[in-house]
Amino acid sequence: MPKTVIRVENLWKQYRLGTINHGTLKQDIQSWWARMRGRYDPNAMIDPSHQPVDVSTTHSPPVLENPRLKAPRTKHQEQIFYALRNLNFEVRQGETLGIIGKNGAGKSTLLKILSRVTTPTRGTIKLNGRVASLLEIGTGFHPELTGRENVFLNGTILGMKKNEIHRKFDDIVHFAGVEQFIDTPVKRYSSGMYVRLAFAVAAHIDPDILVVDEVLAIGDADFQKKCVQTMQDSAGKGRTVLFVSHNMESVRSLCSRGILLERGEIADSGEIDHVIESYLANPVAV
Amino acid sequence: MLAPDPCADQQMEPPALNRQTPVSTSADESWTLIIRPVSGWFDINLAELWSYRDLVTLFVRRDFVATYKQTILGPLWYLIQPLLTTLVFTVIFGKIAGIPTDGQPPILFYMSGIIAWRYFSDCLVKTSGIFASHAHIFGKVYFPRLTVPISVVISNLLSFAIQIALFSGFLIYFILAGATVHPTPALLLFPLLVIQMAALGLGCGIIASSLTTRYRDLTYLIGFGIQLWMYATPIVYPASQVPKDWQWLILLNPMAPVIESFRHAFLGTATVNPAGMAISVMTTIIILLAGIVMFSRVEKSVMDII
Repeated sequence: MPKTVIRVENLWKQYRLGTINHGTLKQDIQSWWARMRGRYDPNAMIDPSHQPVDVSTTHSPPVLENPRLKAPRTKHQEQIFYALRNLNFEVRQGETLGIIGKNGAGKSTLLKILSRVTTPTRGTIKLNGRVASLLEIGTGFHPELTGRENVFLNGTILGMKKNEIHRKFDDIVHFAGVEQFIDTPVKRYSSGMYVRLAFAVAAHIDPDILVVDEVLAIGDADFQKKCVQTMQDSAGKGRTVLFVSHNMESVRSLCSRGILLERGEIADSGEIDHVIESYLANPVAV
Repeated sequence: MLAPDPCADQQMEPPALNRQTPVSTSADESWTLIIRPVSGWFDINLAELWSYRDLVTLFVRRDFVATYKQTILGPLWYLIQPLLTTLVFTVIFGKIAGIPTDGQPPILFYMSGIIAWRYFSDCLVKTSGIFASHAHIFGKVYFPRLTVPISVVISNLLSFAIQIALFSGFLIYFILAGATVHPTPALLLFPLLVIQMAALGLGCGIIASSLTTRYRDLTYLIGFGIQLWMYATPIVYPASQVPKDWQWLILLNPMAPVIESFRHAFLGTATVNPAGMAISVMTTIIILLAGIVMFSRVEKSVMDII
């Protein structure tokens, strides 16, 4: 039995609706002063007569705030939105897990937390091995820098070491097919060359766990095929892949298992065909 | 700590995925990474930061190369800026306003102040905007965010070094021409002064960057605040010209003793008040530590706010 490389435990992500981060110091002081005197916060977006609302759940949410700060807010608590509510799942080494769901189901939030772009509000994710997350390719590309310079910059941003990139440099350039232009600033690249170079870097990270967003499905048919091929190769080498997509065809061809997210919860999981079926069987417009 | 886990009693059954395999809880499981909610007031992983040192050097390179791409004069701009500013200051403050320069040649006096101040203010201003200028990267990839302000300080150090070379050229010329300037042994402490300027600029900058994520107003404040701060620092006038009653203000400004020491080391005339220097060093350390703590709090959640 391959060992578990990702374990998500009781994962919650809370967002606040309305103007909690008022944006300016003046309003913050106003709100604070109003609370101190027990008045209504003049900057609160919601009607103070409302009860505390969690806009989309039937579970009572966990108390997430410092109780000391919470006390004065009882009359007019802000709306809270749970993008993820109590996710639990495990992924084993070599598995290719498809994460599907409608817009707003929490897929992107889950990816962001997995990529450590943001933190969970509660719960943990335990990971084993080097993680590379591709929410976008070409992150950090600077238009004024040459292709060569950008390969190094982008590679290190994605967590590679300089000498590692040195070793793989020729492969990357060959993969992208931009040998001739490697010392030209990337702002002069055609968009196809740009994307190919960006993807070539991403394809050479060699992570143990690869987290991929569907936005990677850009470019022409050939390029898409190359992307899918690369991810399949990754999976073949014992890598674990998490793939988020709306495109059921690519999910079906890539993934062995799937989870279906709905309103921040796992609605279904298991064999990918089964999960896709249950996703398609319930077509609610969003 | 927070109250005991309120959702413990309503924890849902793990979903069907892998339900057939009992969740192993053996203690020998080792995880290379555990992602958890923000906790604690100091959460900077120095070992991780060190492992990303290649990224710092590449950011430095990017900043240095990209600044003057497609310019004809290129890095020469690093020299033109202080030269022209020195010229303007010499004319306005030296000739027209007639502010004394402690008996030093006005060009050396102003240039030393301008170069040192510029290093500090560039560090501060550029680090203060990093969340805004790097939002597109921070929103997509994780890496220790502190690498960015550190790289800003280092890339500014490069331009500072070029400018110091220019200044040294002028200094040697004036000495050969018989001016009354004489570098003192304090020059050996010059690297420490640079470190202090970098630390102070970095500290103020990351405090500002942490606050600007919430309070955008600070962006505007920094723009002209740094100008006002310059006039509160003995750049265009020597500290000795400050009236006795106002000398305490100089003590409060951590940059003032730095500039004075800088001039003392290179030109030999300015006065250094040891007490003032000690206060300045203490302030710098406090500001830097406060900055790192605030930054470490903000960096985790910034993408939800910005």
